Amino acid sequence: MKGTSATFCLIIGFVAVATFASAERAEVTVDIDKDQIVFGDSVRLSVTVKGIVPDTPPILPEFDDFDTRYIGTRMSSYSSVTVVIQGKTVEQKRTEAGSVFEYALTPKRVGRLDLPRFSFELAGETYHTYEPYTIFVTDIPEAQEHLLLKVSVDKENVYLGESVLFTFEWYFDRNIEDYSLTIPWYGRLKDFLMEDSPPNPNARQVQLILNDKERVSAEKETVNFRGKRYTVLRFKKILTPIGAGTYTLDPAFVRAEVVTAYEEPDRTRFFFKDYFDFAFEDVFGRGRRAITEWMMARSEPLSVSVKPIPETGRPGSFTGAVGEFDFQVSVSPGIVQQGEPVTVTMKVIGTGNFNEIQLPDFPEPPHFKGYAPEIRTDTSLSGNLVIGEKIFEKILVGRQEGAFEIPPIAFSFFDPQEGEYKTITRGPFPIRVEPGKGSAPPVLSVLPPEERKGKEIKVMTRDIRYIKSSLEPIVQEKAPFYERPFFWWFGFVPAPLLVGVTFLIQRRRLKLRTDIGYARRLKAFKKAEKERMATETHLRKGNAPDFYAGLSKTLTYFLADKLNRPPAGITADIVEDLKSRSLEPTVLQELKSCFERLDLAKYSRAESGTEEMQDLYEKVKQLIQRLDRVL
Amino acid sequence: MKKILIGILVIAGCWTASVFGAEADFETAFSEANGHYAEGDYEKAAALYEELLASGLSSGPLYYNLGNTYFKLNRIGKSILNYERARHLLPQDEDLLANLSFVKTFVEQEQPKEERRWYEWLWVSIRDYLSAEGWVLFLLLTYHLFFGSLFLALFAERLRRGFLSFGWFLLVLTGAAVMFGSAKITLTAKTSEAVVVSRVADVRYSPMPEGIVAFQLREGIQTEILRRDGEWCYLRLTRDKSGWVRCEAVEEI
Repeated sequence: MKGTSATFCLIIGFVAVATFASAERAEVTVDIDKDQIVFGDSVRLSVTVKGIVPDTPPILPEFDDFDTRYIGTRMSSYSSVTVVIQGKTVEQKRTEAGSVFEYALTPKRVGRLDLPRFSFELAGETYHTYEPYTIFVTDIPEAQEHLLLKVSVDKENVYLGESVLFTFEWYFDRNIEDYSLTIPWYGRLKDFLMEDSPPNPNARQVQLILNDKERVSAEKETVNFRGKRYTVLRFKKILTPIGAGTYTLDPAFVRAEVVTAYEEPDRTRFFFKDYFDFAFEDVFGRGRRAITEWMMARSEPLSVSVKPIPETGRPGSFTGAVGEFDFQVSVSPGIVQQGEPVTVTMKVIGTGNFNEIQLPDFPEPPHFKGYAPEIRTDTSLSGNLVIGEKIFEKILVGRQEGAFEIPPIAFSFFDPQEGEYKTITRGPFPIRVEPGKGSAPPVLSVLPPEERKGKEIKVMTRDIRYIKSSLEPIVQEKAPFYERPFFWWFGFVPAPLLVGVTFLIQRRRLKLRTDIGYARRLKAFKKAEKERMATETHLRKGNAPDFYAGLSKTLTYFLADKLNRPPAGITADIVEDLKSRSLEPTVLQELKSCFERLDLAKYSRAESGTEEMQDLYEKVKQLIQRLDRVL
Repeated sequence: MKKILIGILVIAGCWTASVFGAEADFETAFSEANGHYAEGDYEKAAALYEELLASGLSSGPLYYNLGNTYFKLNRIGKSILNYERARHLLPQDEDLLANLSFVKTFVEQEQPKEERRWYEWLWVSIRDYLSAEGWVLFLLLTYHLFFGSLFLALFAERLRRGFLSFGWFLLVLTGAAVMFGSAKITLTAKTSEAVVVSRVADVRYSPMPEGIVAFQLREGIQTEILRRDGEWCYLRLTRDKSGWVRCEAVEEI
């Protein structure tokens, strides 16, 4: 083991683990994700390596009972640090989380299968597992009446480079709850190029998941088959062989959870919660519970024999096109002015592998500048034939006047029907370049309007438009305005504030207009203050009758406004009414005293001194201020 | 006081002279690069345009001319990259849109399109109809119109119902603007548009040289960079086409 000490342990259950430690402190574990599977399904075997970063994945040995397929590598947590030492870039990798190499093990038969002890090499070290592991592979009955897989190719004997149309069809006549579809060779054919066939624009498309990870667009339709109505999912792929030999394409499998019946829900259980469940399910038509059963179907294996195309008779202009084609060439216009473009259009039409068709080569005439060709491919599916056209448009610009010629252009292809090479040659094509600027002015002729109709300006060729001569506008790179500070505050806060304040003002105005009691109460103090100021004038003049009358009026009207009553109803008895308003007894006492002193002064006609008037005035003033706060 | 005023005037004069002097230098270098382009010396023209960009200058015509130059140098990816950068600054420029459309025909792969269900298509179409800034402006408009209609409803008693109904409509628009705007802002912040600038870029399932190659991208294909991990960038083209590529193979628009 070349100085490597290894330990291994096997845990019976869902995970089998082998642990190793190398001199470089590498830690290797091997595990599988399950030990019971259905035939056609795969077990995932993972080799986790910690401490080192292997350049290549470990190569597992061939197992008798399993087909092994490398799926890929992943790193659950990977980081790298690049440092520069003395001008050399050195990459240091931290690999604490480790690399995980994953393999799919597909059983070849049903039964109790042993995954024996095995060895593999990793970063120059050999690792061994200690114990075998057992995997139980069960089978489920094929359900030909409910599930059916059909795969086919349009040709079983082809030449190298000749396209083969592969068709996959999955028929089912029941609802499918879940499925696992496996085409073992899909995506790992080394000797075939695989591409999508031209889609059928009228078909309804659905997504199929293949081999647990690949997504494939499939057409969905309903067909009558064997006297029953089936839903069929179909996709087609174009396979182009790049290596000669006989190839077997393994069968495809599908495991599907098929709805076999529906069970009506028990509606006698009627709880509050159930009511909503039923209501929801009824709305979406899912009141019934599906009874399902896992079923399986498999296709027949396919065989494709690929013959090499003959070496003898291969023309020099052959570049790999295989099929039945026609070749057309046009050069337009044939007469140009110096500096004007000429378009050489080469069109390959027919059926075959259009991807392999390359631009037929031809030498550019002298004093012409050629530009990169524009290539367009348009293909469609007619039955099992890929038909279409590939167009090459090459621009030539004449730089010198004179008569020139594009020599004959040849296109060669191998015709698989006849088993021989064919070459189609077109041309030569003369081009005359006339002098450009500075030549004699042309003779102008008037074109009648009716002759001008239908003569649209046609773009002869395309090129980029010329550069701009001014730098303006120069812009300053800056952050979006909505990222600037306070944008959201200034943009969005003032409007609701304004509306809110306006609303409160409006509401107050409306209340003042409609609620008389509220309006009187609110204005009572201001009004009383006005009255009191008038009374103060009488006080200063010593006019006792008017002073007492005014002061009495001030207090009476203030209380009338505050209590929303007529002024005539305000007397000293009001004190009794105010007791219910939880006023302080001193205030009530004061109010009563003021009323009594005012009544006495008004009705007794006794002379009052200025001091008495001043005292009463102050008392009423303070009383009004205190009552304004509490009423 | 007089001295202070003279000092301020001198500083302002120097600043103005330096700014206009720098702009004059830019114009001179730009004209020189244009001259190289006209003479067919595209390498020199590209180097001069790049120098101008490196000096911090940002101008639509500069990106446009650089796009033209890279096209002449047969570097389709760089050409599309600079046209797209120019498009942010000159969104309506006809020459630019024509050139961009033309150069895209030289990309050797078809730009993948996301297959979407009708409601996803609707959501994305509305979200992308406006830029992030456009959505914020639209939100400001509907928001203030909403409060404006409430304000008017407070005063116009006869038209109150009309203003309130209009207010409800504006409130719905405001809600939509918040929804689509926040989605657009999040998308803009999280992803960055990019163009493949190397001839071929291997897109791998994992960010490491030995990672399995999922597919290859040709120069000029546009993509989104979702995140970075060291020298690796995680790209997304469509729902089922994403993976890791070396960051040097793509450049952000």
